[in-house]
Amino acid sequence: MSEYGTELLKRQLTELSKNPIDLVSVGLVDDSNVYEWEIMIMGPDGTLYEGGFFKARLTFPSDFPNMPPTMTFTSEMWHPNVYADGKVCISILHPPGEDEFNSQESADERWRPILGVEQILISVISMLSDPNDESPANLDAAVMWRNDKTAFKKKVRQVVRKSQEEC
Amino acid sequence: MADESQSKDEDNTSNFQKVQQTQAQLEAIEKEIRENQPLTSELKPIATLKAVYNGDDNAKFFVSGVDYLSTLYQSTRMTRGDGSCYYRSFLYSLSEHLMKNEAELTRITKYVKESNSAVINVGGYDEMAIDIFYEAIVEFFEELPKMTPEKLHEELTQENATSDYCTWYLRVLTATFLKSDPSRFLPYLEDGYMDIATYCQTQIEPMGKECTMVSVLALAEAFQVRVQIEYLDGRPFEDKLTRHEFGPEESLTKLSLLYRPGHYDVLYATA
Repeated sequence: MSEYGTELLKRQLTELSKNPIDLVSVGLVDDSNVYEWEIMIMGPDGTLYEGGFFKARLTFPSDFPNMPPTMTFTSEMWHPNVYADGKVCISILHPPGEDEFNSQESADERWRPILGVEQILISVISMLSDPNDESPANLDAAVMWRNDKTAFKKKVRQVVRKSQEEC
Repeated sequence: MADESQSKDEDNTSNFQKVQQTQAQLEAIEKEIRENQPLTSELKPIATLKAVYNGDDNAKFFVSGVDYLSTLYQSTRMTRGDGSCYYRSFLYSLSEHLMKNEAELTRITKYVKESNSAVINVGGYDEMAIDIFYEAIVEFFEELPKMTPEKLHEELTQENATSDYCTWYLRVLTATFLKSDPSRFLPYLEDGYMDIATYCQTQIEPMGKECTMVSVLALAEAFQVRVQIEYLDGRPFEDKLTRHEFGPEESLTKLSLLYRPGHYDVLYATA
């Protein structure tokens, strides 16, 4: 762990607590560990996820900010870009240098140290509004999203309701 | 129908596993590099470079290239091959030169201190996103006059510390310089990049992305220092290796670096 990684996370947490971004609240899982954040995301209005209260963990690696954090929904989620175990798969959370193995994504934005937690959260909200079925993490969800919007909507309403009950 | 959905499940799982495996392999390689190569090595005789090529018949121009280098340089300092080697080599060599030249130290410290407004206004970076890296590099240059060579080495070899913080900011300075004159640099971008901002996002800002010729040029001009690079690339040569030079010729600070395919180290001229 680097002194600056720790300091950077403390500053960002303070900043996000003072000037929160819409639809998101952030906090630490355990006050003594700034590398593990608990996030609550409200489903954006006008999207299928509207009304949902989704909990997630943001886990920062010890070599942050060289490497990106991982974001994992702890609430149940149904989305083409979220793995079955809840892990979020969006390009800015990918470490640089992986593109040799996934040429499809080579031109996408990757993680870089100057990105902040705020950019991650904004990207996740934008992911909820606008799923990307080009490189799906959850293939079933992606296929359903592409071919059977009605079934997809129904499934998402279920996870929204479940998130409200657990809230 | 049931079969189909089952096979999709399997695809999905195997895709997930593949990604995880690849990730694990990458992490193993990175771990090995971290354990076996310090961020920056102690000084080593030029002949050390030969060791890699011993007994390799195809490497004859590497071996004779090392002989050529020994006529001009006495030692080298090797940097870790983690994709940030250029920035680390540049920073190390620059620091050593500045410790010996007060006027240049003053000039460059002033440049770095005043760079944040260009980074925000020209580079388009968010102050919140860069200030911690900016503070780190300013503090580093301000402390240089008090530093001994041993302290400098300790500082720049420590893991997850100064060398990384400064590399983040050097990447931002490189990107800002490219963005200050897009029409000049656009034709030199590799891989058909269509705009400077995307190039910076994908090739300059992430840690581990190697420095290319255009960023070498940008960094040298941003700091107004001369960078001379010897190309030990195994290509046939007659009496001299290819040397490329970047940045203003009249600069009082002249850094010598070594290029081998995909990697940069620091060179020290024979006194």
